[in-house]
Amino acid sequence: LLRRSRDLPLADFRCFPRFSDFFRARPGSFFFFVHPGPNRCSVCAAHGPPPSLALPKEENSSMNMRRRITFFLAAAAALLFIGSLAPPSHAQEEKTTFPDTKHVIGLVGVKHNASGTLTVQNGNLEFVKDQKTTTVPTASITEVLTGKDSERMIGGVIGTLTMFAPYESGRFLSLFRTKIDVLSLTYTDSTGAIHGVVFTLPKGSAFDAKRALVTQGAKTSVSPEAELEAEAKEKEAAKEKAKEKQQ
Amino acid sequence: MNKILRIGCLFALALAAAFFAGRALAQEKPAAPQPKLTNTSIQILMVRSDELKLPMAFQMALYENLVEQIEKTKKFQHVYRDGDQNAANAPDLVVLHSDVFGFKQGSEEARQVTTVVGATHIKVHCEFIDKASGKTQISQDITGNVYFLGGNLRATLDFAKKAAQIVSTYY
Repeated sequence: LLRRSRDLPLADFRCFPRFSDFFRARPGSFFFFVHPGPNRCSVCAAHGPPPSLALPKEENSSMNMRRRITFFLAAAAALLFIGSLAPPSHAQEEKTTFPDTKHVIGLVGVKHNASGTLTVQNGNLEFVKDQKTTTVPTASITEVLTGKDSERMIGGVIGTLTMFAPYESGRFLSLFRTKIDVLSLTYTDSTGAIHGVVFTLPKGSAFDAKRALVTQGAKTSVSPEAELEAEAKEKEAAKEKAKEKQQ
Repeated sequence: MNKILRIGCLFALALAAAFFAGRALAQEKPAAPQPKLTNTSIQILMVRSDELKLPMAFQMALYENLVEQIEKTKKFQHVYRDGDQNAANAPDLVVLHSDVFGFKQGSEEARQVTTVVGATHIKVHCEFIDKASGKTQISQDITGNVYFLGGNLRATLDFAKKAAQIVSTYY
């Protein structure tokens, strides 16, 4: 039972047995009761439902269907809202495999710009390329940082050849780009020598990779949480700038 | 009419000759061949960027490319990385210090679309210091650029190749 104004006399309230009736109400009549269900309340018993809102019996079945749909939509919205409030699930936290990772530079015995799968498991960072695995213990990683970049959709040799295509079409193709994440890390080997490694991953994966590495013992000067906060601040600043430009 | 054409051609030829002669004179004479330095091992320290904020990916790429390119020259028996404990006992060790003092990150997209803008430049001051004597053997500024083809990190490869060329020249 909803009641907006408690100061008005009971006779001024109007009773709407259905939510749909309430939405049909005139804009001025903001004092109301809503009680879904077939039973009438004391107000209904005293005054009866408003004649303008009385529905013919033929419409009852369609109204029931509408009410059900409305109920299901409301329930779905509520579930989504609750889901967004809940902390991230355990499965999401444990994302440790990152396919379509490109090794830019740094891993011993792996070619530059080799594509493979990055895995963080059992205290090791593993890069698998053509069934050949290169392993770096996460405990030996002294710094992990993420960044952002973009690359041509059509890359490699074909991408280079398109630059010689007629009518400057290669330049036009350069405008089509995909956003990528950059994961940079340093580690020390058994002799204490420092190595630097750079990977590029699909957009949104670098943060998960960093979190997985830090969880399994890698060190970093910027915690994943701080990185998230910084990213959120950047987004806000960008939005504000865009608003200022619009004004 | 013919006379005017002849005079014009002669004048143009004279101008061209003067231009090329000037350029030839302006070019530095090749340095006299110096005696090569005899260090047998080198330790490459991590590239520093105290004066400016350099993205970590660039720092790593500079360092790794430098190690790789100097190894390729085969001028040293051992190439040690920063922190390598084996370098402590290495004889005739020369230590390479690199400090980034200029960095302009361009845009690969702008380069490919316009050709003339979006270049990436990295300026690095390199010092080769003999560990035993503490003397600076070579001190030089090296610039890595990428003007057209390749991503921004390609500037680090350009820098490393130039550094390796210096190593080949002096060692």
